Amino acid sequence: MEKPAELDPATQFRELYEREYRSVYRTVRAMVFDSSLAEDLCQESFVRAFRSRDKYRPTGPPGAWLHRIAVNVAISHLRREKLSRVIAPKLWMGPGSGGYERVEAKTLLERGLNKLSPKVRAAVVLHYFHGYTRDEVARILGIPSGTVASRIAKAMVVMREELVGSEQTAIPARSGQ
Amino acid sequence: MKVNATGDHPDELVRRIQSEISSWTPARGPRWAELSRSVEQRPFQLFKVYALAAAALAVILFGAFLAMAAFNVGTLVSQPVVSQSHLQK
Repeated sequence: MEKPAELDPATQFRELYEREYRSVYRTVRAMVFDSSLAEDLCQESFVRAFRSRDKYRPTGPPGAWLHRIAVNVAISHLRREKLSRVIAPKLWMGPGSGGYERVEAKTLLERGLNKLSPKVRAAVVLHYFHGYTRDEVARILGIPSGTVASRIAKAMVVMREELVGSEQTAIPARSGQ
Repeated sequence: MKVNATGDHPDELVRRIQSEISSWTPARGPRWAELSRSVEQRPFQLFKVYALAAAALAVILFGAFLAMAAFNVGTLVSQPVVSQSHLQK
C-alpha cells in the first residue's frame, strides 16, 4: 500500500489536523483513559501545534511532531491534576464526586495499561499501534532510545502478567457459574 | 491445553493492543471551526504576569531607596562620626 504524502504543517495544517486527529486522540486516550478528556486534550494539542506550526522542522514526520505536542499536553494535564489532588482535594469538590479520582480501566487491556506510567503507555501505543520506531518514540517522548527499548520490554512483561492473571481468575469464576 | 491465549504467542498481546486501540474512536472528531476560534483567542501567558509583578516590585524598591536617600530616612541618613581622637592625647 502506498504511503500517503506528508503534509506541511505550515501550509496544510487543516488537512494534517483531519488526517492525524484520530491517531493523536488514541495516544492521548491511552494516557488519560477518558475519551471525553482525551478529545479535549487532543484539541488543545492541535491548537498549540497550529500556533507553533512555523517552528516545525522536517527532521521527522509531522505526525511525530504532533504526537510530541500531545504527549506534553497530556503529561502537563496529569501533573496539574495530581497537584490539585494534593493541594486542595476538598476545596471545590465534594466527597465522592469523582472529578479527580482515577478513571476506572474498563477493559482487560486497559487494566494492563493501567499498571504502567502514562509515558510508558504512550510509548507502547506509539510503538505497537502507530508503528513508530524506537528512535522516533524516543524523540517524541524526549528520552534516550535505549530507555524506550527497556521500558517497552518491561511494559510488555507487566501487561502480559496482568492479562494472564486476570484471565486465569476470570476462568474459574465463569466455570463456577 | 493452555488456559489463555495471551501467554501462548508473543505477538498475541501486540495483536490485542492493536485491536483494542483501533476500537477507540473519538465521539466528536475533528472540529476545525472550534480550533480556529481557540487559535484566535490570545492564550493566557502567566510569565507576563510574573514579569510585570517583578518590574513593579523593582520600581517600588528603587523609588523607596531614592525617597529615603533624599529625606535622610532610615539607614541612609548620614551618620555623625564621633571622634575620640582628642581623648588619646
